[in-house]
Amino acid sequence: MSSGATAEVMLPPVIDVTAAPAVLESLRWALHEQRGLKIDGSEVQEIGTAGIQMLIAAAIALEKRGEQLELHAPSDEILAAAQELGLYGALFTRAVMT
Amino acid sequence: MGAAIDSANAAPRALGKGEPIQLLCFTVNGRDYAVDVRMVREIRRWSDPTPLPDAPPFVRGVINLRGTIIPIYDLKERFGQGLTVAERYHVLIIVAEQDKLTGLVVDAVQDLAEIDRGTVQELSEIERRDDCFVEGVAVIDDRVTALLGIRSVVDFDEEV
Amino acid sequence: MNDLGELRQIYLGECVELMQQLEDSVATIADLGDDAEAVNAAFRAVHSIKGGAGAFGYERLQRFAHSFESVLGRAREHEILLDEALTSLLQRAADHVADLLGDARGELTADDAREGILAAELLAYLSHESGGDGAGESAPEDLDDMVARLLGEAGLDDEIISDDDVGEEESGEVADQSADQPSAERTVGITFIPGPDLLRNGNDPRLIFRALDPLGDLTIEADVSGLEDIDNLDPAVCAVTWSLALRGSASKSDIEDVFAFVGEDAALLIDDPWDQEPPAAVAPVAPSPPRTVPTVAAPAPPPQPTAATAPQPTPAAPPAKPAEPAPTKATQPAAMTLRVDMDRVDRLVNMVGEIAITQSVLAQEAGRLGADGHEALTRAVEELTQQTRVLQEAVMAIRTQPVRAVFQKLPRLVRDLADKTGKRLKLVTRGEETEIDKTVIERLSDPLTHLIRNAADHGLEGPDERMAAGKNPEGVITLSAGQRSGRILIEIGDDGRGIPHEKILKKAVEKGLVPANAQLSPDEIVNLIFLPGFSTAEQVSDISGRGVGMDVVRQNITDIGGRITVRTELGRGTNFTLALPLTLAVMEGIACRAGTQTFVLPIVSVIESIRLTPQATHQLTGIGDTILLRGQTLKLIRLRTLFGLNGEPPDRETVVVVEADEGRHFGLVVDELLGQYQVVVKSLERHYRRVAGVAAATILGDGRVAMILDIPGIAELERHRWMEGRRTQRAGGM
Repeated sequence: MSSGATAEVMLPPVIDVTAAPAVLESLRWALHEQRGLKIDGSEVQEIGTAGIQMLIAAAIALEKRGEQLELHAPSDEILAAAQELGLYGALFTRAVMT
Repeated sequence: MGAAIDSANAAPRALGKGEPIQLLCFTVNGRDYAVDVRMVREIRRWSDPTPLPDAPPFVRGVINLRGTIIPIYDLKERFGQGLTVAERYHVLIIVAEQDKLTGLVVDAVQDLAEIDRGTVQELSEIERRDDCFVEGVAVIDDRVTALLGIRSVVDFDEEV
Repeated sequence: MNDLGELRQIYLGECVELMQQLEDSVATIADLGDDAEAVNAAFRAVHSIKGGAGAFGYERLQRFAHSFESVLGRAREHEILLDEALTSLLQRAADHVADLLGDARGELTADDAREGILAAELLAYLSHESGGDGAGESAPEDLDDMVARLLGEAGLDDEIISDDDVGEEESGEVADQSADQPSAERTVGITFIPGPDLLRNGNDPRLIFRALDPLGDLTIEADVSGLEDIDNLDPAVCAVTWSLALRGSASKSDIEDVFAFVGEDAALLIDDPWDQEPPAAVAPVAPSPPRTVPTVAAPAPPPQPTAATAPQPTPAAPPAKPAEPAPTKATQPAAMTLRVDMDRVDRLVNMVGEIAITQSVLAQEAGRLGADGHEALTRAVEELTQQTRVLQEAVMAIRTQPVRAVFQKLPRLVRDLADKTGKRLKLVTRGEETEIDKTVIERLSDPLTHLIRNAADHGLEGPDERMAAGKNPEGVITLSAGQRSGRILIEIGDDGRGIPHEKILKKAVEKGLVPANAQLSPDEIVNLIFLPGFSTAEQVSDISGRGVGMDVVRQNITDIGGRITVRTELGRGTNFTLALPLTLAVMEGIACRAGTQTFVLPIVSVIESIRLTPQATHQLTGIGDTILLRGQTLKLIRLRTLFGLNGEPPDRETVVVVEADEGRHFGLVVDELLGQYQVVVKSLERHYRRVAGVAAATILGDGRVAMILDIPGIAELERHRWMEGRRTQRAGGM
């Protein structure tokens, strides 16, 4: 059960193998706080497999507790990356786009 | 003495007014000068340079700076005030300008000063005259200090 | 860190080597004709360039390379005749690939119009029926089949084309088999399971899939079961696995190429229905041996540290391929190479240089102590001296490269010059494998280019003039490199007009460069062209440019510690010889003292030395101080006077006989000789500027700086002073 307000994580413009750990930490923290999770993807300009897989992992974690990931304003880059990796379905069947 | 000053490798970028700049202050022939500290690589004790054939009198020669050969300019002579009679207490300021290192002979180094860019008076065309080595004037600790332009110091035409 | 950017840099870096391979192969074809190895090498190079071009979005390059590759493929299978016309096309196409790569680097070199013409020519060969050498007697096909085949080859399957769309390319890779390949399709199953290091090593599946996309219809299925536990997820490790289905006619090797960068960082399973059942129609032409990826990827094995990326320790291993057919190494295995940042090599060279200096100080001090009672020390120092020398040589060897690196772009230059001048020109090169220090190579490019331009512009005649002179209408420029007695000799010659001696002398006297009554040998006369302010060109042509005279060329050469001389014969041609040091960094020299300063003379310039007795000196008008050496008059130049050194000369000075130019000797007067040393060359220009008469500087054992003299420069300086002196004398009036 989530307690309190939804945690908001703003994704940085570049999420590559170097930047991924920091983003993952934010996601994990938000999930542990047992709140809902809203990820803002409007600023993302570069994202690769590392980044997309983290988003899906977060979505899966929320799904397990009966919640749904809110992906707010995903940038074209996020959509293109998910598409090219064949992960579009995996992400967007679990997350709601706002 | 070989104190290395940690300054950024890039050439100093243009500053807007109101931004502070750090200057290294020194004296030549009793007068006060300063350079942007970002151009200073090192301060060394005087050592006898190897003379270069046919060089103008203000180029005292070259020295070995840890394996690199760099020229030594006598600022006093460059300013037309006579050759520095070099004693052991004289100081070499090693500056970097566009990737080239140069050593400048000065009498003594004073200290670092931070001033506001806006307080520097640029010299007008009229004032330039022979002091074209000076890019501006500022008052530091109540002393009128001339800001030195390195490029004009090392720029000279050779007469063969 | 921009992973895509780094990969792109790696690719572009690889393309430099691929271009070299391509140009070498095409040059071999031009020389030897249909050489199977060369055609194959050219094919593989274009193939590799094309592959990466797709992944990084260089569409024009990919399209052009595709057509080029197809033509090379047909040539390889002997379906088209590798005659002069085709060879010329291959050369021009290779040149254009170089230009397109220039574009990729942001240089804007490629010419659209040219590309159109070349693309059309290439396409003409693709629709060419097999040549008359009897390769592949195919049964007569009906019109529909032929159209389908042609479209398939040009990659234009299922596309409605208009006349302007020639060269457009969709998917549908042309299989690198013969033209009899039916453009049938099948679905290839690809299982891709990333290993723990895949992402860290800069390989993102996104790029890989993107590169697969043009090869057919791609369906991607991802398995995200590895993402169930976010708490234990390692952000840098890819936890997703994929099953892909690629439907198309792309060859298995093309598919494998896309994964070439991956190496051992992922498990890859490619299930190709065509493996069991080789395409039937290929029977008459032997099926190409299964291409093992190492051969194609040989120019670009990824697991190697490169300059563009941060150092990543990756295993240098061949790509992991399950069920790989027994390695039919169709080509020789690539030599184990390592790409290293040039800066690191330079630092290493510097350090070794410093060690050499320290070692020489040690040797000096040990010498001073004397061997008595210090046997162990003396022995150790001797060993150290030897070891240091070996170390220096080994480090220098890292920095050497075959001079081919400079020579390789010259054939193109000559082709362009032939075009521009309308003359027929041919470049013959020899000795490209001669090894030279990389820093020397870089600075050779300009002078060589200029000399060749000169030869094309002034030296060589047009075909009519040549034939009238009984020569072959094609002018030949010869470029050769070799090593002799510790120096690299590079010769550039032409079989053209030659330079008339009288004209040179006249011009030199006119310009006041030599006195009117000067007695000069023919060789000395010709070498006058190197004097500053001299130019024999009647008109300024736009090829050689204005004012870049021979003096600049010579300056370039002396700047790298070398010498240039010229020989010419009227009507027969002109020959330039460049003598270069083996390495820039270290030099053998004779140290000498003049005044309170130490100077170093490059040993290549030193002939002999003798003690000078004052009585031996004769003053000759018009020349100055001289002595008689074995019956010959030798001009003396006093270093003290020339450089304005202080102090009193010793009673007995020493004359070092040195060679300024071929045949021109003079005697340099110094106080005394100090011995022969190996010195580390330090640049004076790096932080100051060039000084006349000084080639560079070095650091002595005691840390002081000594000048390394530029012997031709000293002769020059002295002559100049003398002319100046005469001018002021005359001006002063008498």
